[in-house]
Amino acid sequence: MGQEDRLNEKDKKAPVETRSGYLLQEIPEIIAQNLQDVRDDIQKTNSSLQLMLAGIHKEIEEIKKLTRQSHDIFRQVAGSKVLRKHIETEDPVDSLDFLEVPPHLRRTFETIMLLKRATAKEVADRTGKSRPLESDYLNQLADRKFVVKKKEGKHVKFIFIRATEVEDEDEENNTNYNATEEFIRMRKMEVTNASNSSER
Amino acid sequence: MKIIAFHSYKGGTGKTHLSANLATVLAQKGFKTALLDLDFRGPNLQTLCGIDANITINDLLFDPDLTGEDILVSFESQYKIPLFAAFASTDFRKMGDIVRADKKQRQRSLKRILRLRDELSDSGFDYTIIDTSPGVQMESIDGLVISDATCLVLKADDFDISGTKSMVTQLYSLLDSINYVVLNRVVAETCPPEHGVWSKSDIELVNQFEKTITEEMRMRVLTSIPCFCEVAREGSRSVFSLDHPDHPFSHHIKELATRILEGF
Repeated sequence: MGQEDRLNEKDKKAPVETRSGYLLQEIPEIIAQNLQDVRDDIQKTNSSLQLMLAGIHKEIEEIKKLTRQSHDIFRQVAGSKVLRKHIETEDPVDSLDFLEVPPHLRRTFETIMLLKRATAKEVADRTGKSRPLESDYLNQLADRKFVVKKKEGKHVKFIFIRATEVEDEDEENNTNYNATEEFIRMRKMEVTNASNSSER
Repeated sequence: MKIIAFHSYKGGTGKTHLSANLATVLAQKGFKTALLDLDFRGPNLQTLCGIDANITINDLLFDPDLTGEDILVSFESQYKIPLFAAFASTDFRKMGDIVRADKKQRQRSLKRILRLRDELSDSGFDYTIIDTSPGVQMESIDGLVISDATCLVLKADDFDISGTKSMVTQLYSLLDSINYVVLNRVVAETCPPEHGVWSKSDIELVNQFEKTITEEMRMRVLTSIPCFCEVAREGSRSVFSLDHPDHPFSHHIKELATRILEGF
């Protein structure tokens, strides 16, 4: 038996204590146990992370839903505000005001008052005059603050702003936010800008 | 469709009587005619026509669901002439609603009167005669702004020339209509004129009076209707021209109709 064999034999027989107090023979088992613990922790973290992510995803969906709802409410409120402003003026016209309008504008005036919202062509169809002439008359009424002009797509609509009737409140609204996505994008940008500026 | 309004500075000049009789004469000529009572503060066209209207112009002004068809009463079968009428309510509360109307309601009223005009025009009416309240009442002005001709009725024996002149110069100058003066119940030396025809001396008197009015008001005097006892006796109980088509008064109304139509 050589010296090496003799030493191995000695190791097997006499337990060797390490500096940390563990026996040298126990170390592989401890390492294996530690690895198992780490694996368990990672699994636990993974599960909780997944749960958290699922929660965050749910929150995001909820926020999206609420944002869409508030956007719809905003559209309704903004739309009806614009319309109510046009429809429920505090300064309606009566026949005495009507008489203050120059005679050549009166037919156009009463037509737009009855239609509330129309293009020059729509007014011309009613009065029997030409579209360019009605357009000129409507612009004169706009100068006198009886109507406002609003571009809608390809057409210019003239809106009678001294009306009192609330019958047409469900008319299309005039908000610039055309789509929910566009609204969300704008809100995101506003939030990003706000947080950037607060960080600075 | 042409619209003729009867108006005055003061009450009791005979606007309602003249409007109803003119409408009758136009309908007798074959014109489809509507008679509208816009004298909401002192309505008596219902009494004149012997009608108790269920739905009136007052209702139309406050109820957006009503149309001209709902308020028009036809006299076609009764008198065999194309005559229709819409009445002002004699209900005290409904009259009060008109008096209390704020500016928003006044705008609604104007719009509904404009819509009524368009409806009548679309329904093929040839003429609409409007009886208005005296003075500068908003409802009267609603009627005046849609009229093509305005007849200012003056009762020859009693009218406020300065008040009338002031109203004419300020209000009538803003109207698009042709404005006339109709002298009613004119009393000359011979009263009533024999067979409804003025004597030579009476004609001179009446002409002189018409000239004064024309100069003061700067409006054409369309006709001078003598004061007839028969008309006064019958009062506001019926439309005189219907019951007495050959009476001189009815001839004067026919003459009035001819002159108004010539003016268009």
